[in-house]
Amino acid sequence: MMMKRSRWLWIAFLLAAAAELFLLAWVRGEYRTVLAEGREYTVPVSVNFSENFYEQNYISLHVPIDKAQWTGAAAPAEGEEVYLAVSGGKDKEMQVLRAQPEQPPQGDYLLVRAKRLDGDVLHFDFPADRLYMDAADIRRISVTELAERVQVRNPDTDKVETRMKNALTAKLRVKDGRAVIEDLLVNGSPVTASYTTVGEIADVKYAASGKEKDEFIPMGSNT
Amino acid sequence: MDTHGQWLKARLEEWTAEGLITDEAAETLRARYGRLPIRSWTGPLFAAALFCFAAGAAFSAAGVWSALSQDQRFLLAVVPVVLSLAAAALFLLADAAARRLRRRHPAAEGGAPRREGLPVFLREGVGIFHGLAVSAAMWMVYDSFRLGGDLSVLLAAAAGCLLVMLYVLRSAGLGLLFAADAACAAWLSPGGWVDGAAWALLAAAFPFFFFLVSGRREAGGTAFAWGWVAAVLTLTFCTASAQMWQVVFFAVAASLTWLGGAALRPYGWIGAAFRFFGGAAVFAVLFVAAFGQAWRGADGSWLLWLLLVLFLGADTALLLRAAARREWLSVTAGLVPFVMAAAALLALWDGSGVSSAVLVSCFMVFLAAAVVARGLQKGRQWQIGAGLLLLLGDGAVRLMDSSLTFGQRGAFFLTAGVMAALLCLVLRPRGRKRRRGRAPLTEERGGGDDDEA
Repeated sequence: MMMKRSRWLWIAFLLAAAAELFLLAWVRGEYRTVLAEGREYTVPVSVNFSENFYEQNYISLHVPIDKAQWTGAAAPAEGEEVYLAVSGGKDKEMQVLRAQPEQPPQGDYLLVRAKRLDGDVLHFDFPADRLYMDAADIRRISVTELAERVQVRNPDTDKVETRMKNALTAKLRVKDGRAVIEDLLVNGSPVTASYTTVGEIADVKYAASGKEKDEFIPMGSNT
Repeated sequence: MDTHGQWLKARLEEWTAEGLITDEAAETLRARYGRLPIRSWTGPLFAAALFCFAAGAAFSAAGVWSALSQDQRFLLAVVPVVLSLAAAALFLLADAAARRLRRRHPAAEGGAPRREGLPVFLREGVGIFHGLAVSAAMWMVYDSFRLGGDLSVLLAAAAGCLLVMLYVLRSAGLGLLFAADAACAAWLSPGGWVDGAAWALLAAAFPFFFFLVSGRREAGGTAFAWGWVAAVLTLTFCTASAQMWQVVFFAVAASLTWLGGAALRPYGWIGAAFRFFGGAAVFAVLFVAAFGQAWRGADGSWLLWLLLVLFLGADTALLLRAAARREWLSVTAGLVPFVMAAAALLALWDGSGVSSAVLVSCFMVFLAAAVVARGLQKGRQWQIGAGLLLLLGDGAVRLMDSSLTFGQRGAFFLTAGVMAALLCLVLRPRGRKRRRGRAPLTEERGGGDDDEA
């Protein structure tokens, strides 16, 4: 009786231990698989400078794809996982086709969580927001150049608009509903190859109105 | 620190002076038991050492975390898990060997009380190390290979694994970490199956409490039960986002804790701790529920009502048990969930929340009177004070709560005044002759509540 109990105890222990290790390996494997086998897309991005840029091993990015036309019969509950059908346009640029409750029978899709439904427009957060890099590579990026903005006149409206000086895009990989950001492109070139000089290590504070100017605050100045 | 030793030293001096024992016997007793209480600090010191090592390792790792590559981070996450598994396996082997040895050579204990397996602090150390390693590894791997908002799923899966380890290692500390994992999973989950899984996991962990209590591990049992109750409360807040349901489920949890304390009365301070915790929570939730705001805009899915009915069933079982022991104050506390259920039903009918708030207020008066009566019966000033405080608090809530109109508040106080006057009339001192004729109340009748409640 005691031997039997001991045997079951060990079986349970080994099963739980295997499950724990498998779970950890699965997360890493899933990420690597998407990165290696996923279909390539590009999306416009902006860099989130509010987090401590140099003290991490990733760059925090914001992909402005956050709404799509909802084609489901009933409204999804908040937090419900829905499918976002996507396709590649010119230069592999990601185009959102629609959001729906079922998995699309063909083509790529992303799994996103519904936030709210305005009419037939579904709002959600894009499921990828990090570009993992070596900390040494991140330190080589010049925030001053990356964050630089310029004022240009819009020929359509004849108004002066503030825009990013460099066009930032992210190279994405998509597979089985998962998305991984593979690279950050500055005017089409990888960010690590775009700047040949090491810029000043600084935080950026964008102007909130026309009276203010963008500020670059050297790191370590305790401001 | 050495109060037991000082007490023994004083007694031994008295007994030798009175000639009850010889000097040699006193010296033997002093040598054997004089320093015993000092050993009682080894447990907390060991726990403090473990905590310091864990905190030191965590902070050291955090210092270099941002400079590591993804693969290095993965290794940093997995290595502690592997080490903790090795430690757990070693512990299980050594524990089984120790049990076998004690069964084969029972005389080796030298007549001392028989102890099964390895010491509890080793069991707790191994369990806590494993729980911390797994929980931290899930977060570290998630932070290093982020694929959407899957942390809640990972934590739920980790809690499933820890549940199995909980019954294998039988560590109360691991139980606390498991409960925290399950609660965090539900908290981070945007809804869906993770909430349901967290409920199922916590329900499956509940029998572990009886393992601890039956093994006389009272401190571990108390810690685990409080952690479990806190996790259940978190889940109720996640599952039921409306304030009404949060109040109702908090009241149910508080009442069950109080009744659980009554059921655990034979286990000494563990039961007292539960009654104190439950009592404080019952009073707090009644104050919140006495405001009309808590009951406004009531609605709810059938799932929440079903959950409430299940909880009421559990409450009824404990309530009947308390009634069988004639613990009337505990029975009164056990009525709280039923009052809350009635108030919830009233709130469906009266959307302003006024009727529900008044019902809760009336019950507060009843509970306060019961507490005061118990205090008078037992001659406990603190209990009388607590009852009066509850009564005053109820009055203050009714004065402040703007969900009732001035007219309604006036009617409430007038009714309360009439009731109090009637009570005075009933309890007024009788004529001298009748009072002389009555037998003095020297002997306590009824009431199975002991000194704690």
